[in-house]
Amino acid sequence: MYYAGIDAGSVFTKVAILDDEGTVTYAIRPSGRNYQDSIRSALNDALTRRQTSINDIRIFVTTGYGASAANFPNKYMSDITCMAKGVSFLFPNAKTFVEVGGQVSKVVRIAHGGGVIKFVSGDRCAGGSGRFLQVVSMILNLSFEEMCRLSLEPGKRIKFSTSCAVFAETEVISRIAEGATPEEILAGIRESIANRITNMANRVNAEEDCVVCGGGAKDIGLVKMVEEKLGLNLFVPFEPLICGAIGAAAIGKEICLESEEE
Amino acid sequence: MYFAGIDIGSTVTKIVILDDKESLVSKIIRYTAPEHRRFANKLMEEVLEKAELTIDDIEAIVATGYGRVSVPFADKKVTEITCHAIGVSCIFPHARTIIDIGGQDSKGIKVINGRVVDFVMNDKCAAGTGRFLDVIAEALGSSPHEMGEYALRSSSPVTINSICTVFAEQEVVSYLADGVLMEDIAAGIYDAIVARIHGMVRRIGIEQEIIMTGGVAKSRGLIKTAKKRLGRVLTPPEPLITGALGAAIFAKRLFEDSNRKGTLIDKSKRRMDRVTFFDQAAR
Repeated sequence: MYYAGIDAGSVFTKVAILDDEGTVTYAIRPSGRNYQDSIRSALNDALTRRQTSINDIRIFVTTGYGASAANFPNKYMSDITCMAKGVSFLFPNAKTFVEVGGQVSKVVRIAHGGGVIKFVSGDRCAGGSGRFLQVVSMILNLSFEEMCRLSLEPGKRIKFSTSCAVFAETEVISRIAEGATPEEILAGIRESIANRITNMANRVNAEEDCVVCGGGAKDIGLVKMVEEKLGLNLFVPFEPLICGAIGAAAIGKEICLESEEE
Repeated sequence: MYFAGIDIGSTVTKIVILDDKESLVSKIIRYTAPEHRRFANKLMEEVLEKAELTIDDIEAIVATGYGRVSVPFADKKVTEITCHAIGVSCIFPHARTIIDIGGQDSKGIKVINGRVVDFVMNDKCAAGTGRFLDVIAEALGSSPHEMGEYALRSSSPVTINSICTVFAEQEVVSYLADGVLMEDIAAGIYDAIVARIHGMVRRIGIEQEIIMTGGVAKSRGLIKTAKKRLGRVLTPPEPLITGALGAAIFAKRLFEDSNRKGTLIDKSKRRMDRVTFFDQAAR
């Protein structure tokens, strides 16, 4: 039997299929403008990879910004609950995780088993979220992957005066006009995100094992900067985007097993 | 005798030249260009030419706005808070609360007889500034001016829950996808920005008369929404130039002061040399 988790985020839609042995199969699609399309497409892809059909899925658990677009029976869970479960599924000793999402960053303290103890979320403001990285990659005309490879060497960092994602765009452009190199700009942007995350992490007393997930975790330069500011070693999952989807699937599995016991 | 005020804002630069009766001789309004020093010189030359004056005819020059440090021909630099208060009080002597919404900041200034009593300011976050409207207008495939006109036609504005510009933009896109009318979205956006600014200015206490200035005050949609929330709201005939006007009046007072004290303004310290791009690069 299979359990599906669907995480329709602001940038990517992720689907994870979990089986009774604990094997995960996943698919990722850009969310685009139509969540119904991205959910259907990611789900079909994951089902094909797992060589199974939708009829073998016992439960669908959905989460994320676009979850309401799922037009089939499903159970909705909050993204923090799902992500905590997913992180704990992958790293059973995790006590804290940092999520650098496309528009929101959060730091969450979790109990053994994935229960949420305490969290801080930057959900009122896109400052310090993955949006900063999107802005830089757009202005520097680099793909996200190219950008992540850029400037891993510690060098000069441009200090950014703004924490607003909208003003950051203007500031990046004027720094380029002043002659700053892409490496220096990127280092400054990473530092700005890392500062914001560190502030949040201090408010929940982050401790090891600490995991970093979300799209921002793919930027190894950012991860190193957060490690430096936070003074903690960070674990990065094999695929940092799918923690929420895995967690949703794992919650689905728990729900099914519980109802069987009854 | 002539006096000049130059206000280099984040988005728009304004220069005002007044005569000794404080009446307007000439003014110029342009989008702020990079390289403020060169740009300020160029614009000053242009406005002087328009008024058929030379820089030595101007008895005193005051610079204000966030780019005021880049005006090598100014005799004094004064904050925009002071200049707005003076400029607005010159047009509206009973002004008590000034709400200035600029391209990248917004502020509330409490004044009594042209003097600043208190102020609040936001330049940290794009919400509640002209930039918010620019971003949203682009998402709607329209211009800030058009959006203001659309908003006037709405009878049931949507609710925008986000404060952050980035999140509000996404909300707007999903309203569009749901087929909500453009005018209702536009009106919802003005409700949101006015609520945000009201929340900020309330901290200094809002009293009548309320004067709205800055580029955003040109939008009829915004003024209509602001009146709904604040009651009577007045706008100057040209809401962009109150800062530059205040700077020019400040220049006149500076001149009168120094005359009284017998310390004349040293015009030779003004630098108006034509700075070329290559000079800048070599420096």
